Amino acid sequence: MNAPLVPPEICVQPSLRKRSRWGWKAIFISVILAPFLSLAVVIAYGLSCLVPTHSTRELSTIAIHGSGGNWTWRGSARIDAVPLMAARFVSGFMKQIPPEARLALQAARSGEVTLYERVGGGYSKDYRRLLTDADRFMQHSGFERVVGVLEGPELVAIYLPTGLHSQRQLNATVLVVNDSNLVVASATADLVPLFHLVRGKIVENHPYAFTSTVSLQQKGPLHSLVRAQKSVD
Amino acid sequence: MNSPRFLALAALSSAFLLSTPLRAETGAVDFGTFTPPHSGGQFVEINLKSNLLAMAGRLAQKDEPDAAEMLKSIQSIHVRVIGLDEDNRTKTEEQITQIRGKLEKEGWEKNVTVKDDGSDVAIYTKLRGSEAVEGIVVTVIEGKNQAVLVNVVGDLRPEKLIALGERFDIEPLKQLHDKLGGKAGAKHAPTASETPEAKN
Repeated sequence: MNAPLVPPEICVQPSLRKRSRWGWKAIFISVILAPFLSLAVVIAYGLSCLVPTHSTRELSTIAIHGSGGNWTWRGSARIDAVPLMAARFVSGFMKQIPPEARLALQAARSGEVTLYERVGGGYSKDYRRLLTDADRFMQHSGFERVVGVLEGPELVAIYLPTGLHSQRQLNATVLVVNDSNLVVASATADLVPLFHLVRGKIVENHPYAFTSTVSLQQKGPLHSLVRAQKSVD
Repeated sequence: MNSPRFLALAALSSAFLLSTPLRAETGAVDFGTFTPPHSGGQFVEINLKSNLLAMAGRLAQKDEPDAAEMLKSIQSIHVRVIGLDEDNRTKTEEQITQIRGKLEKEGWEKNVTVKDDGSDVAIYTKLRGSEAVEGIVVTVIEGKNQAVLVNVVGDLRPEKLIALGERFDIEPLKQLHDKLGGKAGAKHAPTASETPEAKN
């Protein structure tokens, strides 16, 4: 005698029950693990802020090779747009922040700095090769050197993007090398609040800077032009 | 696409473009490469191009419209400050002499020459007709210590330069009024004694 056929809906029910049980388990596990996962993401993000970006690392390597001697890495720090946005948002509620700090927060978009310390001696103070190599690398990366200052044992080079057009998103890279330290810093900023910040500082120290004649009493090339012309007269 | 008419048109266009000198920066001067001092003196290179200057002009538009207009008319600014020591003095002075000779050969006008107390100053300008100054080159050899070269390129109106000189008390720029044939008609910029702050 044949066994009665089991209706199909009875066959489906046990697997549906199994699936719903696993679904609840997954939700429960997710709720338990969520704080730990969030913490892990925050820690990973925080640790990534201590690691220099590829371009900063490359420029540091080039500077180290060009400057000669031995260097030891002392630290890196990086801050991206998100924490700065959060800081700007929070600063809106804090009335006691000085106006300069507020302007600086408004200007900053991201920043990064890497520091090396020189170890031992036996190095050359001729930074021309370093500058040439750094210029070549930065040109390849789409930057050009705007300012280069070499004074004594210290070199400062400032690079800006070649096709610079936006004043809202200015990206600058600075390289500083001296007897004891090597610093590579990179920052992106909004020029408008930065301009007001700098202008305010200049006016604070030189009240007539933008409204009347500028004093040329300090020594400098323009001073010699003025002095020479006056003596001829 | 390969028709003879098209090819002839392409060839004519290329010939025209190649024969027409590009007018990007006719007032620009290539200073070349200088040797920094070995004894730790100063060595500065500044190269500001039109995009950065235009941006600075836009930023200064509201508070300093005159300065903003001047910045917008400048295409580039190149500055070299070279500290001199025993190793590089002779070579640097020779290079500057060569630059001055080259400027005179290329039609630059020598507007200001000063030799005094070891300072050797020469200012050259390149004019575009009687309308504007295309470029200015300032060369200074300051005794045995320092040499300075400045090249400003752009559509520099004499009256604006003179106003700038009066505003910032830069004598050689003020003297340009006479050197450039008195084409200024410049608006007199307030001097220190005439500002509201000084009057108060």
